[in-house]
Amino acid sequence: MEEPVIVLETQKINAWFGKDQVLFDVSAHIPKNRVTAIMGPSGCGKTTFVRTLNGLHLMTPGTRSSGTVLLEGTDTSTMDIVDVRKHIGMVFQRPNPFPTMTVYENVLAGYRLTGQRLARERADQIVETTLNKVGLWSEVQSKLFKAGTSLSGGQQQRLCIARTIAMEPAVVLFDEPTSALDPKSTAIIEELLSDLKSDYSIIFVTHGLQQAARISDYVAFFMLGELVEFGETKRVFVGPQDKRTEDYLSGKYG
Amino acid sequence: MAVQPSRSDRRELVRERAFTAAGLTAAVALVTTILLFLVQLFITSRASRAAFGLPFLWRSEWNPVTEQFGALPMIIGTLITGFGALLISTPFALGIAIFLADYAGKKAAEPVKYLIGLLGGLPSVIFGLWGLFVLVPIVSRFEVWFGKLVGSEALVSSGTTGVGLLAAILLLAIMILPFSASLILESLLVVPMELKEGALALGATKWDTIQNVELPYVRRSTVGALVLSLGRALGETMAVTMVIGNGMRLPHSLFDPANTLASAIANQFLEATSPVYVASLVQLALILFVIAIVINIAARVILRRGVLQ
Amino acid sequence: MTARKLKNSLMGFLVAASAGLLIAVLAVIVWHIFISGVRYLNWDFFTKAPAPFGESGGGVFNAIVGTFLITLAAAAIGTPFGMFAGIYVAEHRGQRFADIVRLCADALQGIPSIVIGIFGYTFLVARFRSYSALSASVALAFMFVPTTARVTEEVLNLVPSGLKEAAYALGARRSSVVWNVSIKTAAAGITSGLLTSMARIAGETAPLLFTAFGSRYIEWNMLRPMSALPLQIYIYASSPYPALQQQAWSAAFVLVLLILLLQFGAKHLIARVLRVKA
Repeated sequence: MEEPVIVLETQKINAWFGKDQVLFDVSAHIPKNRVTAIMGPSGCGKTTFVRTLNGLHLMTPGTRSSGTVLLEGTDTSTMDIVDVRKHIGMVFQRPNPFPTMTVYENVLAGYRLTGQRLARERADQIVETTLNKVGLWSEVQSKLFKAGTSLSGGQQQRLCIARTIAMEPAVVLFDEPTSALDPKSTAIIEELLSDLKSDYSIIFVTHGLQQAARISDYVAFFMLGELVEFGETKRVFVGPQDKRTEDYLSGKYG
Repeated sequence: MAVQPSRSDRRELVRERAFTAAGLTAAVALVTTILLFLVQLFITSRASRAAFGLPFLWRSEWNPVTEQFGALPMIIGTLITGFGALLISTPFALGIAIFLADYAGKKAAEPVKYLIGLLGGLPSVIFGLWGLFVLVPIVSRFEVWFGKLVGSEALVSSGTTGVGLLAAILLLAIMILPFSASLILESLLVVPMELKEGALALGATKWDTIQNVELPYVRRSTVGALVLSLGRALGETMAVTMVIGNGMRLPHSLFDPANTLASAIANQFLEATSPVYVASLVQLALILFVIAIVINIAARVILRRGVLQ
Repeated sequence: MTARKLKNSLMGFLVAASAGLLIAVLAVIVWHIFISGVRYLNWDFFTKAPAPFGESGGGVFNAIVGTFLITLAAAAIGTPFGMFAGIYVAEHRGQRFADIVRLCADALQGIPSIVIGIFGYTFLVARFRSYSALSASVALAFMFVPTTARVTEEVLNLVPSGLKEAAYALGARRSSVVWNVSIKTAAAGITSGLLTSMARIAGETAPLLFTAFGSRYIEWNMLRPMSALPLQIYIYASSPYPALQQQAWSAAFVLVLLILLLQFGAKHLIARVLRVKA
């Protein structure tokens, strides 16, 4: 049994939308350089959980949260949220490249938006390296200076991934990254998620059992706001320890 | 995870603070501007209040020579022209709005909407120009004809020059027409298709549907639109100034020259020499300011309480 | 049955007639402006200042320069205030103070132009004891700010929240998100709104009566009294000289062209925005 290094730890995370509590004492240990899937039926709090990690949850009016998030040992509440987000990146369900920026500029958007100026050479290098990592370089090399929105859906999502990893975060969060894509693009992105774990720690939310089983090393099963079970994917899928997990895996909740 | 603020971080913080400050400054500036207007107008019109007090509002004498000033002729003029213009233009505004909402096809509607926008975008002074050289002669001829028809000496003697309340009312009606038409059109376009189709399915004619389904649906917002149009009319300056004749006395008929609060100021301010004269004109501006705010609030109340809209 | 059908046809006719009347009135007015205005248009008209009293000829170059300078200055003053106020209200949506700001912007928009002119006089001209184009620009700015703020707020609210979230997720601060994402995405709409507002204030006369006051000379100094097209039209139209009245029509023609140009620019940009969205 491998002893994974923990990159991100949550301690008793609770979250509310107004009076409704949606997360209950979620404590998790996310391993480093692995792909961790967050799965569970609709409305179980998976997306909310992930949004508490990078502070997006509290940006909605009327929300509250409690608990601690430790990033490589440091309590994130002691950091400026803007800095937390430089270490924890996020890719969203709908690809959202900035329409007023070119492909090139989109990759570097994180630097531009945080006021970090880059020398031309370094900028070029980051663009090429990152686009290579997501497998886009050969496809968009000729379109670097066209609008980011001129690419296909799958390409746009990979561009968003490139934009996120260009900032060299430690952890990358994915909120149902393939829900809005066609099967071919989905397959490409799933493969990419596995490739990326060598450099980053991946947490991705999925509403599909099969996707979780296919590509994750670890899986967290959420239900009704609780973290019901967490463990190595193989182990959880073959021998779930909690009855609720077992029911979910056998299709009882959908 | 040691996080030392880098140079770009510090720059960003400065930018953030400056940006936030700019937003707050602009917001506060907007709010204080209204108060500033009120205060400045109030202070500058002091001499008039000192001389005439509250009765200024209903004194009917406006005589720069004897330095006796009262706002009644202007208030009457403002109300008559405003409501008169509203009365005349409303049926046409309704007609145009209904035409565009229910009768015109897409192809006909677009150019007509553009023309409405064009008419509405014409500057007031150009309406005044047209009013003075084209409308006024027509009104004058009408006044002469009407005077002969009715055989009234009083009518003919006081005003057949064309300038006066009648010309102002007609011109104002033309000016607020595009504004009220487009507001009513906007609210008509919100009426759900299902309601219209439901009525038609019951055997109603097009006009039945309009009269019994659409118009009641938009009643509240139409009233709001008309209030806003009235506000527009009451504040209109240049066009009215150029055709209303700068009458100093209470008008006795539509043919008489008159003044509105706005036109009195425009016509006389530059010639006003004595402090009381100037202060009285500023007092008129203050009254106009208050009327505008009241109408704004009234329109809001009406439009917000719309249950169906 | 037939009575209702008759009514239906009658009302249909009346409704169409209203639209026809509108078109007719507009046609008549535009016709007059064109016919009367074109008559005096010549090179001199555009390039020369008014002729000395009693002499014929001369032009409205002084007014064209004035409109140009005063309108641009008003826009320059009003744009930052209007945009930042709009940004503030959009970013603080739902908060009480933001509602108050919006209310005040609406109220300011409803203030009659002559009152704005009087305020300009008492606040600036009387204080500094001179008429000036700058005081006119400040007065016009009061009219420019509310419409700019409203347009900015509306267009910012249309920016998809997904874009803003993506920017925040990259570690951007609020000011950076607003400026680099929201404003940039909404840029075409905002610019279009600015042009429309400029078209509106370019045609205003009342705020200029007691601030810019007008001038027979070609003036480039904003601290001196200056003429402007609407002002010149008013002065000429009110004069007893037919030659000047004629020039009023021609100046009106020029003013309408200018406004149409600005509105066309605004519409063109709107078309571009719609194409981007589609």
